[in-house]
Amino acid sequence: MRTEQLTSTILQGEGVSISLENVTVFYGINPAIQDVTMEIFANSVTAFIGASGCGKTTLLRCINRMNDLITNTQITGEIRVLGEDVRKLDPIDLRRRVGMVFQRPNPFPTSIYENIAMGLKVNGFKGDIAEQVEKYLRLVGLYDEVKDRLKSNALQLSGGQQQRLCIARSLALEPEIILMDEPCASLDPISSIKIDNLITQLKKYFTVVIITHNLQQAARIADRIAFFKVVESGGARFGVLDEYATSTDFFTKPKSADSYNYINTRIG
Amino acid sequence: MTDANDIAQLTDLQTIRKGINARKLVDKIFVALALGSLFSTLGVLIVLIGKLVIEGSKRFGSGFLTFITSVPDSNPEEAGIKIAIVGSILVILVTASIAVPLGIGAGIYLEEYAGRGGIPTWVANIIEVNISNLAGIPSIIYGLLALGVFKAQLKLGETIITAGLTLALLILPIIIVTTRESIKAIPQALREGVYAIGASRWQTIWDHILPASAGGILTGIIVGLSRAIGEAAPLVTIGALTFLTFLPPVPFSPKQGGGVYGPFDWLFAPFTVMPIQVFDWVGRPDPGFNVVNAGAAAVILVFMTLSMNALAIYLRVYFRKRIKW
Repeated sequence: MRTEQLTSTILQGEGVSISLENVTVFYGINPAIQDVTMEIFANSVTAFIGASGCGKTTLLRCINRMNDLITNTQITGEIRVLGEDVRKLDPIDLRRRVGMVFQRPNPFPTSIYENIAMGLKVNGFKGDIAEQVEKYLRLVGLYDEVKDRLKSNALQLSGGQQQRLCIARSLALEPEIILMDEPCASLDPISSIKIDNLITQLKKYFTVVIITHNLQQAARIADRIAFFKVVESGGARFGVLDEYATSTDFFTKPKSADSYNYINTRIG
Repeated sequence: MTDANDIAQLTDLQTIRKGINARKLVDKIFVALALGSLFSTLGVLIVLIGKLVIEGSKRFGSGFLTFITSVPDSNPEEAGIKIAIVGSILVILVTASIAVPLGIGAGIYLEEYAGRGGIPTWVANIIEVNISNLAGIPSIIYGLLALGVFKAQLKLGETIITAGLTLALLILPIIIVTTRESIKAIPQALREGVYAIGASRWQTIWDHILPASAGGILTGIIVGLSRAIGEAAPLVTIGALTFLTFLPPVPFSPKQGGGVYGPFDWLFAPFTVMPIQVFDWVGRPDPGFNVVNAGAAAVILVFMTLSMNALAIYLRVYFRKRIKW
C-alpha cells in the first residue's frame, strides 16, 4: 500500500487534517517563510523543527489565523483545515476547532477553575462545566495537584502546572487540532516529560502540530518531522521547508545535507 | 605587556574602593537633591492650603453647617456654597456620563481595532497625536468652542448640560489617552490566549482587556474629573452665573403654577460651580467675602479634588494587587 516513491505517499496517514499549498507569509514586504507545501495528517503528531528565525512559529500561527492579530501580515497560497480554506472560515470558528498552546504559559489571571470554564462559557457550552473542567484537569494530570484550590489564582501555579493548565484549557474545547509552539521551552525536564507523555496520549483524539528545538523530544513524540531551514536570496532571509519525513526516516536517513547537519548539530 | 598592566591596575583593590566611594557620593548628592525638590514642592502646597485654612477658619467652626447649606447672600456671614456644591456635583455627573463612555470607547477602538481590521495603525497614531495635543490646549479655548457650538448653534443656553458637555470635551483626551495606554500595557500573550480559545473580539475586550486595564482606566477617569471639577475659565466663557440662589428643579417636584418638572429639566437649569463661586467672592471688596468665604470655599474645593485623587490612587493599588502577571 505505502510505496516509498513520493514523500506524500510515504507520509500517507489516517487522513489529511491540514493542507498547505505554496504558503508564503510576509511581514510588510519581507517574506518570513516561503512556498511551503505539505499535508499534516490526522491523529498524529507532526513536529516542526529548525533553527530560530526560520518561520516555524509564523507558519504555525497561520493555521489558526493567529497572525491576524499582527498588523501588516500577508499570506499567499492556500491553507486548508479539515478541507476548508481558513480565509473563508470565521476566525472564531476556526480557533474553536484549532486550539493553541503557547511557548510561555499564559493562564488568564483568574482562578484555575475559571481558566478552563471561561473557554467553555465564551463558546456557549451547554453541558456540565464543572464536570468538563475536572475531566480535562485529570487528563493533563493536574487534578490531584490542584483539586483543593480550584478557586485560587492560576498564576500561583508553577510554570509546568501553568502550561498543563493551558493545555487543559485548549483541550476542554475538544478541538480537532492542537497547535503547540515550543510548549516545553520554559519548563524543567520533569514537567517536560509529563507533557510529552500527555501529547503521546492525545493523538488518539487530536491532531497535534508541535514546534520544538529539542530533538530528543521530537524523536520521542513525533510521527513526522518537518525540517525548516533559513535561506538567503536577494538580500532577504526567509525560511523554507527543507525535508518532511516520518520520524524514523528523518532521524535515521535524512535526505538533505542540512537536516543531517542539524540533527548532528553541525553548522552547515 | 601594557594590557597586563592595565588589568593589574583595574584589579587594584584601593582604586576600586576609591571608585566605589566616588560613585556612592554621587548617589548621596542625587538623593539630597531629589528630597530637596520634593520637600520644596510639598512645602509650597502645605503653605498654600494652610493659608487658605487659616483665612477660612471663621467659617469652619459652629457656622460650618450654615456655610455649606446656605445660598449666596449679600451678607458674608449668611452666604453659603450650597448652590455651588450641588452645581459642581451635577455638572461633573453630566461630564462623567458623556466623557467616560466616549473616552473608553475611543481608547478601545484606537488600541484594539485600529490596524486589526479597523482604520490603519498610522491613522490611529496620527489621531492619537492630535488627541494628546488637545489635552494641552488651554481650557478657555474649550469655553470659546462651547460658546460657539453649544450655546450659539445648539441653543442650549447657560445651563448644566452646556457646562457638562464643555467639561466633557476638556477631559476626553485625558480619558482616551490613559485608556489606550492601560490597554497597551496588557501583555500580548494574554490577548492571544483569549483569542486562541475562540473568544470573539468583544468577549476578549469585555472579559479580559477591560478588567485587566480597569485600574489604569479608572485612574485616568478620576484624574480627568478632578481636573474638570476645578475648572472655572471655560464655564465663565459660556456665561455661568456667579450669583444664583435657587437649586435646579428636582425631577417630578411640583412646578410653580401647576404641573411637575420632567426628569431631565434640571439639565437645562442655570448653575454655578465651586471654582466660579470662589472666583466671584475673591473679586468682592469686602474681606468677609474675599478672604474668609473665598478661603473657606477654596479649602472645600481642594478637599474635593484631593479626595478624588486619593480615590484614584486607592483604585490603582487595589487593581494592581488583584491582577498580576
